[in-house]
Amino acid sequence: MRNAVTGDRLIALFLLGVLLFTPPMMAIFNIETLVFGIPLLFLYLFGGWVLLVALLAFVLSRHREPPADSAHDEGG
Amino acid sequence: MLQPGVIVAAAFGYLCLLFAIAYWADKRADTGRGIVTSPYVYALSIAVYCTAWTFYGSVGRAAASGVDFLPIYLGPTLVAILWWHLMRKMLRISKSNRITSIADFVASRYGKSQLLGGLVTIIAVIVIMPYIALQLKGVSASFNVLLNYPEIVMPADADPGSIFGDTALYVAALMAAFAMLYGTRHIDATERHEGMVAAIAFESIVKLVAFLCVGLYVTFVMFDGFGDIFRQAAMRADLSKLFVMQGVADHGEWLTLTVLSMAAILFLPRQFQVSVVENIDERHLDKAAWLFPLYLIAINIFVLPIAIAGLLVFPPGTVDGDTFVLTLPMSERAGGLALLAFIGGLSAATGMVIVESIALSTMLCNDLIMPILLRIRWLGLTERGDLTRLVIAIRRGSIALVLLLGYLYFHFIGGSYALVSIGLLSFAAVAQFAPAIIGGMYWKGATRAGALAGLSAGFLMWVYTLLLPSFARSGWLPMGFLDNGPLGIELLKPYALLGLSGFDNLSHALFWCMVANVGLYIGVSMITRQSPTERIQATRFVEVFQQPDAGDRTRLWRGSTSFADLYALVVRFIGKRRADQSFGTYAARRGLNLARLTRADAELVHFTERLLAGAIGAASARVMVASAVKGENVGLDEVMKILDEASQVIEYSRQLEEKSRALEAASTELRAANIRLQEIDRLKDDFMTTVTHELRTPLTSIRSFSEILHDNANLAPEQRTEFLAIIIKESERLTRLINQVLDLARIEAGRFDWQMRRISVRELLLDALAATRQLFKDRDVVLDADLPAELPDVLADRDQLMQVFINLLSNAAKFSPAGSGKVGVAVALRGEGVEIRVSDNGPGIAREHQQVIFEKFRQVGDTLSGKPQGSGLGLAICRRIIEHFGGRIWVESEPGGGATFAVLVPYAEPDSRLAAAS
Repeated sequence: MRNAVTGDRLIALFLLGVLLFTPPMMAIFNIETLVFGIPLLFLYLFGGWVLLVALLAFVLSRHREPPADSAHDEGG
Repeated sequence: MLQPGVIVAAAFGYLCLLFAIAYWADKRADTGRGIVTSPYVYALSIAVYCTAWTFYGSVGRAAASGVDFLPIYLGPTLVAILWWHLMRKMLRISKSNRITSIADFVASRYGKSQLLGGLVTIIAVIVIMPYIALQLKGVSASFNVLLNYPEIVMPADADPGSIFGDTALYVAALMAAFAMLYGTRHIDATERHEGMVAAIAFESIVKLVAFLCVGLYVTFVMFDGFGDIFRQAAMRADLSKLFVMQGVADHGEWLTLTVLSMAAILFLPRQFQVSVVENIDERHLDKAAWLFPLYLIAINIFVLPIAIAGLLVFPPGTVDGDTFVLTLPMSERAGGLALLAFIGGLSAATGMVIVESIALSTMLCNDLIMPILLRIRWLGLTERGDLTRLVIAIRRGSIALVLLLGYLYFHFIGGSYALVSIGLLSFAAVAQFAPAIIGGMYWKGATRAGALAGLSAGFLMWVYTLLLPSFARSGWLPMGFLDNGPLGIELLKPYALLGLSGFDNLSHALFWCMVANVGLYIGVSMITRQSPTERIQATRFVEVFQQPDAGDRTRLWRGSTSFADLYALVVRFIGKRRADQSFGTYAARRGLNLARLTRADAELVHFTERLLAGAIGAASARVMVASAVKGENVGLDEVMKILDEASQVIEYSRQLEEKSRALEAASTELRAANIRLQEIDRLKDDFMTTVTHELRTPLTSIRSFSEILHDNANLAPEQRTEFLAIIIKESERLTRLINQVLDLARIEAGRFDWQMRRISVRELLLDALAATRQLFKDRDVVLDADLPAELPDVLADRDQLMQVFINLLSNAAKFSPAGSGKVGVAVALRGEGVEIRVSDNGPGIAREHQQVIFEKFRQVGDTLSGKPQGSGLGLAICRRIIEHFGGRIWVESEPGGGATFAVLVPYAEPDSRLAAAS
């Protein structure tokens, strides 16, 4: 996968993370109830967290580092 | 069963293990088989982020307010996603500029400013102090709790003890020893510490395993899984409220904590140390970016169960939440697990303190103490010899100082605060670095003045809105300062500045700090100008990915210095062995011979500066190199030319110009070659035309006379004989012409079969005269040959030389006036050979034609004598032949005064002339 594509995906993933952990989103799950014996908010936060890291690992594993000398094409 | 002796032995044994691991890793690294060259070790070392605060404090905070502890770990996760953009750039910049600390980074970006580097260092030391105190507090509190095993006694209620019984002091001393040993083992251009990294990675494993063990024990042994804990808690109103977040105010703090932790993971000195300075391979980021968040999830998964279990087990208000990790196993009399938990907390604390103190000592040494010492002239450091020892001593002193300050803070202030509150104080201050660093990486226009103003204002605002209130709460300042504002001015109340209220203290402080910091950073940058050095650095930072190899392009230094001076300078700071190594690599890479290097060019000076920057920081390195380079820095205009964005364009256009000049030269050559070719082509055409013309003339006459003979069978016999004679003569002429053309072609192509031998000139001339006698007789020309009796031999081809003589003689006969003609043959001995002269009294040859007649088909005199006589090839062939013999042929003539053709043929032997003379 090209550098630029990876970079864009990571930006998108970051925005998803910001959305997941934004108080308004959390407010939706801010209910005092147990799901599978676990408080809903805890489940949501940890579930979202795991999902985010899994996606991150996926995106980064798809990225193939170009040979060292051509790794300069991206502006960061 | 858990005697104090056992606890101390376990703790001491654990620290010894750390020493052993660090020692082992250092040894391996020295032999080139480093174990830290793996992304897993890299990710684990970044997990130094999780300190005693995580280990004990998270549970305490969760017990107090539910999920509020999470933003501290969600923020770094979000940043890890952006590492690919942010950290890669930081890494690249730091490597190309040999940056060794966060202060170095800021100083380097804003024109290698010592002032800025010093400011960042001071801020960092001040704000990290509480953070280190927090670790000491964590260790000593957990130790004191464990000491009372199996009873559960809160540290606050325990016997404070004398200063000699003070655990924190011993812990601090041990940590200082470790940091001094493995953080300042050598002064290195890269400032890497393999042993330390290995120990830190090991500690990260220990604290994770310890925490997971406690979590598993609490969840599955003391309770019946997660569901059990939460169901029991759900039945109690005071606990079930922890399942949700309370109110809008919490949301503000949630965001604030997220932002603060995002800044912390990037800009805490220890994070910068492990993730940037200790990074070995940029590609490790790809794996570490998701391994590190995974670690964070793992170490947090049991925080809520432990917290709630603690609240369920202990009666409300009896046990501090910060100690649940320890007290829960103790309540079940699981001594071994409690000890493991203690070791886990110890490892979390030591990891943080060690890395932090090393990072701070590097900053203190490179960006504060060394620049000051170097500036003090009477110390004469710039002239002094070996400074390696001094640098190491300063580093060690700095480590001791940092830990001492941390201890004092803990001893006098730390007692009154919860772990998390102390940590957050530091986080808020570290966030002040964000605008100057992030801005510096992406905005070229940011100026030194802007960074200074923003940083100072942000820091002062932090002092006012967070630090001073913490003093007030500890009783160092009157509480009235908080409640009524300084001097009773309500608008200046630290927790409600300008009447801004309704937020938590942290969000309030962060808001004002950022307003001051970002506002001044941008505002002042707008109204101030960058110095040339700032412009260089700004470009190098912002465009680090566009530069093939940053650092080599900017030629900052002019002036002159010798290689020996630079070498001596480097040896003083990093030692002889490393200096030899570095310069050796430098020379090898450029194919230079160090032994023959005398003058240092700009590139070498720059290399030296970078080398020194690794050891003593960018700002100090600049001072040192400036002292060695005699001559001033480049003039403003010159720097602008190099550095402006236009510089690249200039560079490219210069290269283009060079290329087009080369092309122009090549095309000029080509054009010249083409002209020559055209000339040759034209000559060939001329030759063909002339030859065919020459062939046609005899052919035409042969044909016409043959036709006459053929058509008139009854011609008179004498007329027939006459015609046949003409045909024969013309045929001979044709044969001669063809032979000549062939000869010439063969000679020119170098395929002529020369029979070179000694020849007697006299005999040859006599033969030639005999052969042409009839011709002279026919034209009634007098031939007067004057040949000496003895003539030396020449080296030549007999037949060809004969042809030359016959050619010259018959020419002379032809051009002499019939009847009154006189032809003379003379021989003279010259230095180089025998000169044969054939002169006639014909019309002569005009001066401008004297060269031309030796060329092919060039006949002169046709205007005088009408039809040319001969093919026009004779003289051309003569010249080729004579030149082949190594002689010369030329003509001397005055128009109307006859012509003399002279031939010079070299002797057969060099000494022939002497022999002839005798």
